[in-house]
Amino acid sequence: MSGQAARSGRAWFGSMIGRCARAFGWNYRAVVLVACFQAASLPAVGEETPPDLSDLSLEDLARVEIVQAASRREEEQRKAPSSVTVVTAEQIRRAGFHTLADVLRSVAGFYVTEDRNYSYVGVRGFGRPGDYNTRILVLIDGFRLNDNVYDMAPVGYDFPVDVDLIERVEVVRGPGAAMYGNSAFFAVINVVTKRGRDVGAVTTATAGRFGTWLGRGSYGRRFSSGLEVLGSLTLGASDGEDLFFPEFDQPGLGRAATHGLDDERFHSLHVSASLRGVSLLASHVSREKGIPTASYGTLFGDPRSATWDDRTVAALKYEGQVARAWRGFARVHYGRYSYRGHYAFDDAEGGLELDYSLGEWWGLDAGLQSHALGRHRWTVGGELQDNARQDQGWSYANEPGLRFDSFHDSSRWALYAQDELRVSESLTAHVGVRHDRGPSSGNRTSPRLGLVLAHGPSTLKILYGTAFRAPNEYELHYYEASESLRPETIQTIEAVAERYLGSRWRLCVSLFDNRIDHLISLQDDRGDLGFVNTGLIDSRGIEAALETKLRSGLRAQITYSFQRSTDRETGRPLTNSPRHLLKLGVAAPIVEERLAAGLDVQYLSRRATLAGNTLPGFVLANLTLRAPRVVGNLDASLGAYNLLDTRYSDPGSEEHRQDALPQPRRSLQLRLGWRF
Amino acid sequence: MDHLLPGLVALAGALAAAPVARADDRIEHAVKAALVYKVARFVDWPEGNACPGGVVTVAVLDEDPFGDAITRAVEGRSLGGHPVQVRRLARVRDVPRCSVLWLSGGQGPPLGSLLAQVRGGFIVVVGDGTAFASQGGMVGLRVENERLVIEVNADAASAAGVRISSRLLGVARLVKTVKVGEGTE
Repeated sequence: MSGQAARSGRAWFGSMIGRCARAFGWNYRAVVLVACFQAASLPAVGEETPPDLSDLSLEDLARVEIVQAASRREEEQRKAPSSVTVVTAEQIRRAGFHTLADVLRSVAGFYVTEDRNYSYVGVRGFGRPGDYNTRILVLIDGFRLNDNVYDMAPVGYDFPVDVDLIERVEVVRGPGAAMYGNSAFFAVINVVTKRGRDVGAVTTATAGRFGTWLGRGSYGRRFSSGLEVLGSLTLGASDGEDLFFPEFDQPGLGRAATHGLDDERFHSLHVSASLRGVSLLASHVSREKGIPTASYGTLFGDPRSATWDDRTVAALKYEGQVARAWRGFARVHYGRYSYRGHYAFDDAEGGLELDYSLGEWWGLDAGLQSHALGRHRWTVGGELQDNARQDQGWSYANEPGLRFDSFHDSSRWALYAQDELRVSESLTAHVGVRHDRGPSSGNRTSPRLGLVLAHGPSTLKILYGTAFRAPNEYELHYYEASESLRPETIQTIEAVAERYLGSRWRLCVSLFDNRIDHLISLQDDRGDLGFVNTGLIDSRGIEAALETKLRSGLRAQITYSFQRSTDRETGRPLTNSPRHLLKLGVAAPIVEERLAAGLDVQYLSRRATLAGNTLPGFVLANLTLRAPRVVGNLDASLGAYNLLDTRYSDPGSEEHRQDALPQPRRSLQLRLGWRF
Repeated sequence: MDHLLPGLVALAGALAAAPVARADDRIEHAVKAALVYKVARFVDWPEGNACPGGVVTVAVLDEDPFGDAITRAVEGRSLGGHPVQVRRLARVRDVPRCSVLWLSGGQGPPLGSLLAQVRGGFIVVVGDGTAFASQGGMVGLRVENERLVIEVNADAASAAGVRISSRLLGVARLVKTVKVGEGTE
């Protein structure tokens, strides 16, 4: 009798945990579970003691909802003084993303433009044709990847870390100069790499349309000594598409077509190791890309036109507790970027032009964080970068010597301080300032302010931030017409509201106002190209995201962004600036544990081109089917990219005769992976 | 002094909020620890003097964040009529006969060599990596869709001479070892 009562009591308790978890808001869940635990452990031993779960049945235990560490990050993200989107390894896998560009394409307010040579990221309506991603800062595990000649953030296959080795991508919108200095103009993108144990021993092979193949071998593990290692090699190549460019049609010769000129070849190597607070990371990528577009007035259809990009980054970091309530880190990092470009001109125009640049830099940064002062959480730090080489030049293959050269070295330093002040239990104020000094930036002080009100399932953030982007070596020296450039600046005011609707839905709305001054742009003054500080750009917009995680395992996210950017001098809207972006991402299990599908649909509204034309809006859809453990440890996935075979184009830049560049048609890719 | 009161309120708030921030981990640890004990209950432990000192050991490697949760879960309990003790050990080879060895987060040597070490010692290996059981671990606890799934690798268990009751097999998901892994070392 009493046994019966005890058993039903246990069952009641087990189901209560589940019910508590279901009944309350997502963010309340952990709290409520604790409350449930506390209520249930009637002989109150102390707050920290959970009830005796060992008395529950196996079935009841398996029914308890586990909120994993991801939600702790979600909680931090919720209270961060920025509008943050995190794309996890799981999301990358589900959607079948190949590159960081694919990841960013899925993020609200971001879009990517391709010119069949590089990939360029647009943020909140700002995607200037010809901008080499200089206005976003990309970090690998917290240190700067942008090089020191172009300040370019690579996001295609020229990004040194294979997307399969990415643990998560943290996209922090808005100016981040108060923390990160130069280039943190529209967004800071931190790519967090996987640990050895998360990767294990894996080999994958991918083959697809346009003669694309890709192979990866990785080995990672954690030893009982605590040492964790990871090594991975990726090789890839693609013949690319055969393309038609009517701009190059010649009467009587038929359509101007390219065959095999859109080819790409790359390899990347990534190693990391960590032991007790000390971590080492090194990544290298080497990529060759053919140029089918005859950019810069080169000969159409000439297979010699191509670019080679080599990038190496390495960092050694220590992070740990330095005293009670004080944590610190110190890091030394190294970077090298080498670019070569071959541009085939008519012999009368000099023949083959060889373009090159080489950047090499060393960096030192250190920071301290303290919560020793009650309601304050302080972060102070400093950074020093020595640009050992910032070389550029070009020559003709058939003559000795350089036609142009520019060899520089420089150094820059910065100090920053941030305070996170807990004004009340729900209100936190963030104040930050950073001072930068460098040859092309001069002295810059970048402040930031943020108020974060977190109350129950709702969060409201009011944010003010500034940033600058110093003219880079390329802008300063490559063209004779550009000499005295000053940094461009941005001021942003943003309001972010976030709310959990029930336990499985999250809604986030953000309003922003950007004011960009002294914008650095390439101008064509009667044939003389040169960079100048121009205009003032105002941009306003709204972003909304609705996310859900359903019990069935279905994950869905829909985001919409609207923006309007105007050049105040000309009064005209910006080029390559879609007003509307609508994105839908769905991942759902089809046959449990056997087959899952990921669907990714994006709509981009019309865009103005440099020549003043309008490119129509389009819908792009990608579908990925994944079958884990088909045979043994073999995972298979099939991806259909541009599923609807949409014909669409991205705007060309100053260097293109084409005003619009056609983008990839539908392709299928099969990927097999074996886990050892 | 004016700032003292709101400061104290904020501090109290911060302190009150602190355990909440860790609550998710605590629950996960507590549930996994309870499952370690539960799983061990559905193993046919040798009777009488077959276990050294007549004790079943729950072995946890040093620095394991789950350690305390496991101590709490098994304290004062018994397995197969034997009292249970929790021991923190530095190396897998120190694990005594009649043990449940808990490995969290991919700790310890690779499973292939580990299983060779515990073979025949009546040691039940339970872990929580994503592919723990399919890589040769006996029982894996993995989180899927916010629930804990128990995976049992019956081959690995029988190779180690451990018999798992059908009651546990009924709840668990059965997985097979992929042998290739043993060759990588």
